[in-house]
Amino acid sequence: MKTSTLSKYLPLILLAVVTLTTRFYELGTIPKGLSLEEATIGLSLAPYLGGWVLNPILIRLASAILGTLSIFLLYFLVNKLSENLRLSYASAFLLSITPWHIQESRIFSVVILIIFTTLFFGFILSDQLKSLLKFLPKFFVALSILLFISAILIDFSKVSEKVDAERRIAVNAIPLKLTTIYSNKLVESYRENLASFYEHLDFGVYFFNGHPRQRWGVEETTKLFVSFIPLIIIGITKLKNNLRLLLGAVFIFLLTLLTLFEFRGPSESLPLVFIFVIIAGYGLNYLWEAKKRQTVFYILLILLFYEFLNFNSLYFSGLTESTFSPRRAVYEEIAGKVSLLREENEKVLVNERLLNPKIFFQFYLKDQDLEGFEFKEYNVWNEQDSNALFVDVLPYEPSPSETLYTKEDGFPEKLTPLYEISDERLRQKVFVYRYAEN
Amino acid sequence: MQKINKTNIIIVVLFGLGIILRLWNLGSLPRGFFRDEAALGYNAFSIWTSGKDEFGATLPLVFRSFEVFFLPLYVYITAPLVGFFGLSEFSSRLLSSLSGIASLFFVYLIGKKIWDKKTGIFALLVLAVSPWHIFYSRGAFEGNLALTLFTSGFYFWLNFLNDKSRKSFFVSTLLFSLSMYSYQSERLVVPLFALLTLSLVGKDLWKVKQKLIFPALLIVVLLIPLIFLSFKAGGYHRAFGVSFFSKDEAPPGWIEGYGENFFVNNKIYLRGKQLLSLYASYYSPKNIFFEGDFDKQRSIENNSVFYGFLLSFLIAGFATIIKKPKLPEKLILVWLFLGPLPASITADPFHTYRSLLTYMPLTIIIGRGIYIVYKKLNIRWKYIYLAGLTLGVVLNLYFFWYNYSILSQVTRAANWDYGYKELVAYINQLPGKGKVIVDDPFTEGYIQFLFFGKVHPTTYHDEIAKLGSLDYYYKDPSEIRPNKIGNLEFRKIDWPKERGDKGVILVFAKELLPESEYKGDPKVELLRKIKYPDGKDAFTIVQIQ
Repeated sequence: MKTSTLSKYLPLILLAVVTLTTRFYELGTIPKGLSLEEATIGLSLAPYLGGWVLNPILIRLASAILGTLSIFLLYFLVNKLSENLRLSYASAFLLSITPWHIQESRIFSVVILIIFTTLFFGFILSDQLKSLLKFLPKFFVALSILLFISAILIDFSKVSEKVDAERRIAVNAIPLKLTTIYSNKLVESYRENLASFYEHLDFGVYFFNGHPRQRWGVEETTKLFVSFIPLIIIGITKLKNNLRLLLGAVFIFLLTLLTLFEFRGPSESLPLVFIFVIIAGYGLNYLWEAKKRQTVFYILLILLFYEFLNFNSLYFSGLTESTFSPRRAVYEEIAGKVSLLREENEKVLVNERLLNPKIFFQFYLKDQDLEGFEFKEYNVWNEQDSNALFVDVLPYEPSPSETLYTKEDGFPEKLTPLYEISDERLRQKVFVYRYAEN
Repeated sequence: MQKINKTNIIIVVLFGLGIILRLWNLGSLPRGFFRDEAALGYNAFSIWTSGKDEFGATLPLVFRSFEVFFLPLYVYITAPLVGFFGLSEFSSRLLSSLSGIASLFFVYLIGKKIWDKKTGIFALLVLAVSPWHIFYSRGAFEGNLALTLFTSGFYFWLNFLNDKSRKSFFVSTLLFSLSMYSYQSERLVVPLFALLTLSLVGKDLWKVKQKLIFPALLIVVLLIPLIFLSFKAGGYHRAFGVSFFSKDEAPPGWIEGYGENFFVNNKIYLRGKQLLSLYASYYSPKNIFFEGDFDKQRSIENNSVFYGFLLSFLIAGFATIIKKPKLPEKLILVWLFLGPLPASITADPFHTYRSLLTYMPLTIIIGRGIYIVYKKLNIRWKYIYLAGLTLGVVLNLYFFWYNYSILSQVTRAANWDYGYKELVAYINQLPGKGKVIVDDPFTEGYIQFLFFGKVHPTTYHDEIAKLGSLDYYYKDPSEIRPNKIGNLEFRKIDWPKERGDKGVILVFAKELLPESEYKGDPKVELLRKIKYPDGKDAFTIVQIQ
């Protein structure tokens, strides 16, 4: 009896261990740096909850808790809908080790809350959902069509410039009046929305950090492991028809939602991960149950394990950030350094080229007023008041017109550098300095 | 009887449409004439008139163009066409266009053979209006010929599996082998296809082995030169040159400043992932249905490989095929699986030309998908469905044609070497001209001057012989850059130095010689400016007084 109880709960205990470790370990420091959104949230909560809330770990705690609970909710929901304990465990297990969900559970994210709420209500209404399984795919497809048409209509006002540009090209070959038939707002808006829709249908985005055609301006994070690919393929082919239709319809619905709201980033598109893990879970479960395919099952499990360790070793060493990461890893150190170096009542002049420095200084110094601080774009040589502590920037490849530019790649003689740090995100160096004493 | 007539009419209409889309105005649309097209055309002309290629090699097995080598079949078949129609853009592109038209026929036959006539018609419809196929059928692309040979070989292979006849076996293997003489991708795919197919039907073949010995021997004989070529520089240089294995770049995911260990910078894992990502990109709906080729020369404004609305039919078709596939369906899947292999071992992302083989099975599967949906509907919905499908196709084709024939001809003019025809005509009509220097550091323009100037190969062979012995033709893959045709020179112009050379005509591409450099200078006379369709400078021709 004892053994059977243990074997019943052991998978859940393992799931809990993996989930809690990957969601809560070093939560305050990994990922390094806060995003503007996280810092702003902290600052807006501080007046009500007190300054203690200005701590990265507390800003991220809600996401980590909700992300963890989502995994267990998924487990119970799939179990209830499919009445297949192994499938529900496989799906929840895959979700718990998925880089996409791990990363999004470790930053402040509204989407995590939305997902949790949806799963929660899905679980509560699971009996009703079960009875609606035939109707739901049609409902979601119809809704998707409506959303897509709405997206086209909404974008009408945004595409004028593109239409004009296209007409200017076409006019080199056909009369201007004729161009209207081909290049117009309806066609362009349709095309724009189709582009947005298809952007989320790129395998590279989900399995290869965007490679080989990375998107400009979008954070391309590690989302799903390569070993998910065969699991998803097997899952799709082996899924029961009604479940395949439902998941397909929900997938299309989510894509049209992303299209409508022009969402492109990994946070906003996170709901898609649930479709992937359920299908992959189905694939894993199929291999698990089929005795003939045990070799494939174990090979995939080993690969999955390797990729999981590989991802975690990189992620928890802070090596997985992408070029377009919204997090600003440099601020915590700069703010700390300024706090140390600043003399009593000394003025601090922070260059706005650091990108929204005020909010980050307020957050890390736990001080909304920042008395004596001034934030603006400045040229140190034009500043009247030289008795100040300067926080300034110099791009990695500076032009000679830059304030801190020197021919020999050093530092201007009249200034005393006190501290420097590389800001990889903006490809610039940040300096803290004072005027040299004569 | 009436039903048969109706479907036949549809087939004729679709063929007619396909032929018009591939042949109409072939010589002047695309408006430019790309250097690779010129190389194919001129070599065909050279073979026809002298029996030698542009470098003077007699009936070579592989042709050399710039730093690359290309396979010979397109040139040898085009030679009589050039002989008959004369050297022109039309005659150079004609074989690719005819190949495209032949593909329409074979795609219909494949659909009909594996499933039924209606699937054949839907597959034909998809191919007839497909952006990728129209695009590659309207340019001199040897890959398109290879694709048609592979497709027809596939059809006869299906026939052979059905009738086990010696004739079908021979025709099929002959066509497959010829495809390997047409384009590099087929050299990798055909042997792999043969291996995988043999693993599927090996037992059946063994039963009729006696029938196959003689045709198989003939094919082996036919392939001997190709095997010989595989061990020569000209035979492998191209494949090695573009492969990502030969690049020094670190794989994606490589972290600079860190050593290699089991988890960080594991080269085997990262390279494997890179290869897989390149391979998967050829099945990515985003690339196939929306974004298209990464290179402007091989892409059409606002269009990709297939029209966006066909994705649902691909899913429907694929879902049906993978459910307990019968042997011909398995072969379609093998074809689809192998199609992107040659392209994915190159470092370029989503290269549609190198992966042409992928799009034919996709076309067939989409055709099947359209039929599967059609079959499931009742008679009233069938009509509505067909009307909707027709509307979708007509609208997409309408906008495709605008984007292809109007927009792309303006935006892609430079990518298609637009302006050379006018330039060569202008230079050639100048009376008593002396030395002409074309500012062309990579000497890519020489082939356009040979082509549009219709320079007689024997005259040119005397000149090219000065570059050195032809021994290096198969042995040494280093670049050969012809830089002289009579009084024409192709090299970088040292403008400050050469602006004083009296009587010399200088040609600059694009806007490399700004007006400020010669305006007001009495010693420099602007002879002519050749413009791109958008009004920007394609060539500036000046003469030093």
